[in-house]
Amino acid sequence: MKRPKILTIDDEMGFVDMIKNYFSLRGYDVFTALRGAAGLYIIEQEKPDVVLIDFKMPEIDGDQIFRQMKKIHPEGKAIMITAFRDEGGTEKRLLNMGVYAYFEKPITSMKDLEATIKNAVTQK
Amino acid sequence: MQGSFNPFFIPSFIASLLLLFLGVFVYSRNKKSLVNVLFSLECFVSFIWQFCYAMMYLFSNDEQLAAFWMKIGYVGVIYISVFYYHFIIEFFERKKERIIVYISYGIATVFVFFHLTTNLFTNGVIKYFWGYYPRASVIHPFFLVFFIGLICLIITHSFMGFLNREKLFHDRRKEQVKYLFWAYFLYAPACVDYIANYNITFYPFGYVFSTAFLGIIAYAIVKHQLMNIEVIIRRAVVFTGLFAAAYGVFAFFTSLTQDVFQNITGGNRWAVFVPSILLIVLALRPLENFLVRITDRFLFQKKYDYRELLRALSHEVITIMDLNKLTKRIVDDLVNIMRVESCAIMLYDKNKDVYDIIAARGIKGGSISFSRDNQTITFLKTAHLPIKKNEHIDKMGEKGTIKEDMKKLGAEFILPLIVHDELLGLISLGMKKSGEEYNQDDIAILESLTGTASIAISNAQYVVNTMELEAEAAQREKMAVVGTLAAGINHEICNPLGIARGQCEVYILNQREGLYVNKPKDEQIAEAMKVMEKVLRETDRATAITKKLSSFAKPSKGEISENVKIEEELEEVIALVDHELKLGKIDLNLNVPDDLPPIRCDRKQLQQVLFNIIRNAGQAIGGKGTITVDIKTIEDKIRIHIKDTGHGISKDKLSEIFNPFYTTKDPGKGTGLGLFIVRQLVERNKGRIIVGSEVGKGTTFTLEFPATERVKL
Repeated sequence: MKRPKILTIDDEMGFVDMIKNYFSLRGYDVFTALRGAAGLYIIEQEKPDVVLIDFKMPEIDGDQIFRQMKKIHPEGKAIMITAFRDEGGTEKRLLNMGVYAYFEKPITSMKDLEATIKNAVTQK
Repeated sequence: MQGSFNPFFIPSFIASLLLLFLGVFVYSRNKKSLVNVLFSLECFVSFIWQFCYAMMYLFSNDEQLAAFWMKIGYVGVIYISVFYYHFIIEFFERKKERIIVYISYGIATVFVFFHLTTNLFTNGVIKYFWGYYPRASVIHPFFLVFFIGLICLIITHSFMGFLNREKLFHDRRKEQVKYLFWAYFLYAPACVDYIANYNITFYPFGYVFSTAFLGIIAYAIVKHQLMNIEVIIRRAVVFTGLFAAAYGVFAFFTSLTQDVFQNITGGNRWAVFVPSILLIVLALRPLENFLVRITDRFLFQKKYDYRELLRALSHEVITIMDLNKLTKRIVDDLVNIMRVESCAIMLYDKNKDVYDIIAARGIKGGSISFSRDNQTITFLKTAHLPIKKNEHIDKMGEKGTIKEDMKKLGAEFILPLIVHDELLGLISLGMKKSGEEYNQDDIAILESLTGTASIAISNAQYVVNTMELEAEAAQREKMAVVGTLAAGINHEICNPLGIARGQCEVYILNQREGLYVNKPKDEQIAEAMKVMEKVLRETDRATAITKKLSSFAKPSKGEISENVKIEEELEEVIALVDHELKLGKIDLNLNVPDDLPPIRCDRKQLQQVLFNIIRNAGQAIGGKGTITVDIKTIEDKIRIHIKDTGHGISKDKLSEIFNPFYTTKDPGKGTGLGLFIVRQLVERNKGRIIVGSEVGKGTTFTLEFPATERVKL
């Protein structure tokens, strides 16, 4: 079976590094992008199963990346990662838009993240 | 022709003098009061009685002359009781008995008619050892009956008044009534004088009683303001002087030179009075002025100082801005200058919604406060008049709490503090240490003083209010700033910590799940080391931003340093706003020359200034844009230009942006204090701030500071 592909788009080097360290040892192909533009390029090229998107990034918002992603790779699942919490208004909106899940930084449990990604991958 | 001098003349003469003095004095104090007028008429007819009798005794060798004086004198006697009775009726306001008064006047006049035109009432004089004396005739006993009847009525009324005095609220009036009763009671025995009218040798020592009467009345006037007469030393001295002079002249002419004038005017006795009266009329005014000047210089000196001091106080209080100092000062000065037992100022406290004592001296007991609907407060509010104990209290009626309130404050006198129709509070004054009552002069000065004090207090309160408002606004501004920083801080703290945590967790999970089993041990250790290094880096990052923030947030202690490097402070500030700017997709360009001289300022305050301006610039752009910071040196000045590509500010608004509370942001978003504070801080650090703007293009703030000499190390 083909290894599932996950892409993480985040401007923090430490974060993408951490995701790569974890998921690459657990049977995933991990792609990283520090900028939205690079991320969209990889989405187009690699069509990853799950994309972890940092919600607030300079130059382009996670919001906009997701919208683009829906156009160019609708089968991909997006998981929004953000340090912000604005009383769940954004969360609802994103989930309505079709985002698969919403995670808050700092990630308190890698296991939970892993479980969510696993489900996202197996769900078709 | 006078023969030997009759010593019996003296007591009557002195008594007459005193009576006249009292009568004229009472009249002069209040010419409009019927009570005063009647009393002085009483005294006047009593004077006539005593004076004419004195004259009668004096001419103990001249029967005709003695009889002449007796005729005049007895007119006085007839009217005495009537005037007394009328006075009592008016004093106790027994209006229903006025009819009896009028009847009495009628009867008295009838007697006078008989006395003057016939011998049926009096018939010449009798010679006694003390001199000549009126002889009673046929109708006289009827007069006695009439007289005694009136006296009984008088004594009854004054006694009833005396018994009922406890019902009065007016403490002073109670005393007045008491003394009035005793005065009349002691005057009554003067009717022993009638005994000698009936050919019985009984020395008429009635003047003793009339003098006692006088003494008591005089005492009641001075101590308890009977007939509302306030004795002010200066006027009394002037008056006494004038009176003594006038009477002296009069007496001199009548008794010593009457013979001379009699011869000149051919026996017309009345002509005796003419020169005296003429002299008195001519000399009166100049004499008065002279006496007033003398007394002012010697007696009034103290009073002048007292007035001057109070006037000086009025001037000073305007300049004291601190509310507590001001009120304490007013209280202290009032206590010292006016020599009062106690003094207090109560002001409205809007937080507690009561009037509380803010400064006081000599007030015993616990704290006193009056609610807004307290009777004293409402009275002061509606009447705008001072409350004098013993005066207004009667009018309040029994249910009032004003009396108790005044007791609590130990107050004799309460003055309202009013500005713009609003009752700020009150000043209460206790008794004067001397025991004197507050006189008209005192009241006038105090009223003017409270007017000034009200303004001063209102100003001081305004200052406090303004400071409170500024403090509140500054706090809101701080909160708004904290809100701004939150985004960047969150990122700069949460992320690093999240990563540090995540890195550790990943390594641990990898180990636990045996994913490193195939890795050689030293590689595993190397991997662990890498993780730890990442943790160090991230925690350092978090610490750095925390330090920056706490340093920024600390209130500036106003430490001025000679060697402040603008570029360093700018860096600190940028570290705080950087992330937010990036989020907003705003580019930040810095043009800082090398060799920038340092400036002398408060580091923190400079940071606050830069922070505010850059933040404003970012908010003005509100989307994509650029902020450029250019620093230039021009001669001995350093200019910092902060330029943004925001929406700009229109020309008419440009002059307003530094006003406190000016804001273009939505309500709740900005407090508008930012630029106001910025300018204050800039100017406090000897700098200047200029703004230039073009709508649609952007705004440039320019800060200018004088450069200091580079510190040679």
